[in-house]
Amino acid sequence: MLQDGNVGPARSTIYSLLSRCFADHLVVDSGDVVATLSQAADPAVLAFLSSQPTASPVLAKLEELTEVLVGLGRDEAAELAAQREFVLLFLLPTGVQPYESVYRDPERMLKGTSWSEVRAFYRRCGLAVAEDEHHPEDHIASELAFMSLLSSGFAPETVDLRHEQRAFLQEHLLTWVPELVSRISQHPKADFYRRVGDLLSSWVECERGWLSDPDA
Amino acid sequence: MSKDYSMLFDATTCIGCEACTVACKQRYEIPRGYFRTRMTRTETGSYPTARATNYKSACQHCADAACMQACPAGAISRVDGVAVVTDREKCIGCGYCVTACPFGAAHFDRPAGKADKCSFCYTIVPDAEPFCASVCPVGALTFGPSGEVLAKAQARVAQLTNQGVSGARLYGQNELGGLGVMSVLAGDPSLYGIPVDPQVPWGVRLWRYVFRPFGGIAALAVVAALWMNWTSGKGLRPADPTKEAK
Amino acid sequence: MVEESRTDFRISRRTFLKALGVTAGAGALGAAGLPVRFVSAAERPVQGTISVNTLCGICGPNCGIRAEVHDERVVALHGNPVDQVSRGKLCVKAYAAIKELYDPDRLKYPMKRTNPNKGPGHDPGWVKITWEEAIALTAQGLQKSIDEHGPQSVMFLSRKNPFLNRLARVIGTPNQLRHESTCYITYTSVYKAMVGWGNRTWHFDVDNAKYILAMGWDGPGKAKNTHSQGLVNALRDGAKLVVLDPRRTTTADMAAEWHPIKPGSDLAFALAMIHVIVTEELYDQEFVANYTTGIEQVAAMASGYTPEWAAELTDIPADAIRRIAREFAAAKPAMLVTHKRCAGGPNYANSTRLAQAQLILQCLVGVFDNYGGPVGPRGFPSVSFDATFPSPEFPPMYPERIDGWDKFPYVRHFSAADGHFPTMADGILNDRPYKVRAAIANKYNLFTFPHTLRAMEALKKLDFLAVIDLLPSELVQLADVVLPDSHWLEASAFNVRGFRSFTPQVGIRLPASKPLYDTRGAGGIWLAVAREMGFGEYFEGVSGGAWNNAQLKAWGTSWDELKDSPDGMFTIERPFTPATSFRTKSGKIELYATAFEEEGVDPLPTWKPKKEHPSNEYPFYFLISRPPMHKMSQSQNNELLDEIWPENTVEIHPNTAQSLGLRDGDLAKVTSRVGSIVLKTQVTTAIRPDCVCVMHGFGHWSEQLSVAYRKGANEGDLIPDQTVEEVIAAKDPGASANMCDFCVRVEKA
Repeated sequence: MLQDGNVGPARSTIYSLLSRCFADHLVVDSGDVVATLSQAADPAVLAFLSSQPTASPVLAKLEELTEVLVGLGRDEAAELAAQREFVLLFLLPTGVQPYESVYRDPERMLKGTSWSEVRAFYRRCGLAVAEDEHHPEDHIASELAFMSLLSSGFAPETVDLRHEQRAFLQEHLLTWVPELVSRISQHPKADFYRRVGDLLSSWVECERGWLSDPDA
Repeated sequence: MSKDYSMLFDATTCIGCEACTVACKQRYEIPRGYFRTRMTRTETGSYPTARATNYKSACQHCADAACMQACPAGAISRVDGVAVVTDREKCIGCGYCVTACPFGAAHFDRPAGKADKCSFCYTIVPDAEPFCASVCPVGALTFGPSGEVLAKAQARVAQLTNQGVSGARLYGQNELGGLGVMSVLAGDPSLYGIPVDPQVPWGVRLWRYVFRPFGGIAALAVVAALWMNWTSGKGLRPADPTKEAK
Repeated sequence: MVEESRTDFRISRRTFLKALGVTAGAGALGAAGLPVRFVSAAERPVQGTISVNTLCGICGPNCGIRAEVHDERVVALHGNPVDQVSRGKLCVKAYAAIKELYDPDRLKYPMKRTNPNKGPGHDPGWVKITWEEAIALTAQGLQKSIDEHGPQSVMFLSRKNPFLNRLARVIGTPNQLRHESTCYITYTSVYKAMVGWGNRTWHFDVDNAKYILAMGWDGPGKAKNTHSQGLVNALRDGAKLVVLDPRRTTTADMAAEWHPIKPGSDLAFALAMIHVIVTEELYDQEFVANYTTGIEQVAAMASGYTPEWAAELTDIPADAIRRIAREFAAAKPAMLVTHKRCAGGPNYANSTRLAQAQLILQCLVGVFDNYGGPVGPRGFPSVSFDATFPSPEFPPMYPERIDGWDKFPYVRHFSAADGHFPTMADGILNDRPYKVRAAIANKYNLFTFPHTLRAMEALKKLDFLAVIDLLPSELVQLADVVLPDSHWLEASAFNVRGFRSFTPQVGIRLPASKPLYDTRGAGGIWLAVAREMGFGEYFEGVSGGAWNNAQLKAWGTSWDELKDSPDGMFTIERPFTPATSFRTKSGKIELYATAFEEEGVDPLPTWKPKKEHPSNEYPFYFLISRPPMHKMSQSQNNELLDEIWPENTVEIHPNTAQSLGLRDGDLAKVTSRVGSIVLKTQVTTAIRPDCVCVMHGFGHWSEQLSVAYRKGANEGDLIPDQTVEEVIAAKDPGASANMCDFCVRVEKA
């Protein structure tokens, strides 16, 4: 199921949308946000989500999020508030520090053990984060972008896509995303990004189900 | 296979900067709140003649190691004939080694449920120096073949004596069968917060040589030994070698 | 909306896109279109372990480092054995620096403030911006102030940098301020006047000294690498160490003798030593005759300064003073070691005099610019920035400064970039002599300023403040624009060995890590701001690379050669010969400083007491120091160092504890005439009963310093700042900031 026809690209698009939300703050009328949103509301994506009973929370949250984004596009003050929220949650130490190393390693430090494991994982799949990127390999945006690539089949032929996607979900994303989302929703300044966190959480749960089903 | 090395801590040279503490923590990624080596500061006397010393509190790798004898799980062993090393896999988290150590050099990593201590960097020595020795900016730590280290230690004691430090002495040549990490001191060990005549607690001896071989009676011995050790003042808490609050 | 059908959702999306005026179209999804760009693994192959030559950036010596990097991760730092300064070892702070490099609290992107309210407890409302926007906002901020209030209304708080200096000249503002006047200018002025050197020397050849007298000097207690190594070597060789200090420091614990001298009275001790050495003719007559002038005046001055006289002032018995003076003169060689905030640093109103008396003593025993004494660093000829990068004529410079430095006796002759932090607040708050309304701060925190709360009010008054820093410090919390700095492990530079150099040597700093975040170094920022402000013609061809190479090539090497060298050091092996002439008018060391005389200040260090003394209201002398594993107020967020020394305390004598009813760990309130702080008590025998001491660097109120937040207290809140008038009236050629020249009271909190 997962690599059939439109499914891969649909899953890839959702990962990409989520990655974009964590990668940078949102300036709603900027080209990349529009492009990402338009992909997320692509009929193929919606068709896929509608066809999966377990994906209905995702569909609902995706629609909600898109609606809120539309709202931000019309309300400068709200958009500014979301940009401030981005800094508070994802750039400052009193936020949620969206790096796997910070969650899983005893050392409160970037480029920890988890970082090197994630990096090695990317390499095994023939991929690496570009050198001039400011997001390290274990930033949530990087990990989601990676899944976006794998789910769209963008990897050397030698890579067992299904196996690696499941492995990455189990060995990495699922080990810290629940706590990341929990920290986001509990953060006193979280508002817009709570929805993003919810969508992430629902999506990852769906993925867990599909990837662990041997028949899918 | 036996190797030959030992280390000397020259307390008369040490400036208490804790470069060794940081190097060890950083290289071994030791969790917050715990240390394998730490500076202990001891103040003796009253103003204005009081003086303070700095001592590198860490496993001394004793020939007659109390921790090895106390461990009921065989998790502490002698590596290369020198280093006393804990095996985290085998450790059952009882903490006997922590209470048994005459130097308080082992600590209990509560979240992991394991005892831990300095390992003499056994995976890299003797081809490389232990991390602490390699970073000391003032050369207070000397590492090398045991004969050479002993000779340097004795020469240093002689040098200090010639310079009028009448209390200069070598600590660890004979204590507990000989310590893998010896120290040069300017005076009585009590000035450094270390035991003048360190002993393996007799409860540990009893446990290791009498009761442990006899299986079933072990439980009673354990209780007795633990009680002895607790009343000796070192309970089951993470070892905190600092004697003066920072 | 949730109840509506999929069709309706599509409609709303179409509407949304229509509202934004964009046609729907799926962009190609692939590596290039992702929010985080990926490449094939072949483009970033596994890197084995490499060693990168670099230089520490934590403090002045810039110790040579070999960074061990394993597959793009810095795993360990080692000293560079070829480096004269570090001699193959580093200090505890450097070893902990990897943790700082990878600190998740670091500033990551430029940001601008959206909440105009500034200060503790206010959320700046940061919004992420691009570098283009950040530079533009900064240029606009400065330009607006120039347009409204004149060029002099712009101020820079930064260590020296030729790009910054040119920018300030182009703008026409004299207001470049640095911290050095709170650090060591008392020494610099004495070296300039007596020896004719541009700066004091940091190179004290402690290794070879046979007798070391330390007046408040505590290199080992601050884990200063170079000098701690030197001291330990000297002691091993049988040197005698004597320490005068109101605290029993680490150095005092290593010493043969510790004398708990009364704070601010070291000058009396030094003058009495001069008295003994001169009257008993113990001085090196040949050296004094050949290389100095003014011995007669010194002798006349010192005639009344007997050890008996000094004993009362210092609390040290006369016979000890006499004996130490004799020992100092007899030992060959003897050294009176000094550094920064030791007794001759800008701590007391008489500190400059002490610095002069110390240099006189060093000359009396005939050890200057020689083994076992202070040594002028052997370096390279200076290269003119202006000659390398010619520019059009600069506009006239506004003559007066906001900090009054241009009016202070003698120091006003120093380079234009020096300046005085203690008078900054008074000038800005009172708009005297004019308004300052815009500033850029580079790598300084609020805690660098005495009377910190007042300095904060002054900086809050600015219409525009941009701050360059690594971590979200307190000053960053006041910024309008935040410019994130790269870590020194991510940067490139070179540094001439100065803290210990018998022969000229220059070392390279190469990046051990690519920048982790979207950060830039200050050099590039000054250039970008200058060009954005339209000053491009003054900066034709100016770049860090070009300036580095201009200097290196003049010295016989080049950036590429240094980069490719295995040791990262370029050394000219030149035999060391002591100087026989100096850059004064007479060519000799002027014990009687005519340069001071010309300024209308005392040419000799006649006795003058410190300014303030214990009173009923403020009964204790106040001392300040720093723990060995911390670097001022910059390192408290490093967990490795925080674990060892998380907070400061007020250190008090057991008698004081008893009389105040304070026990170890109790909260105490310390009050001076300008402020008060609350922090824990530490009872120790290592201090005089009439003194208390607080370590600098703690009391962080920036919540974004998540490790350092709310630990300890800032002693700077207690230190009185200064007015321009009082500094002029002091007639002190070293413009002492009097950082410890006040008293406090202590009580249970």
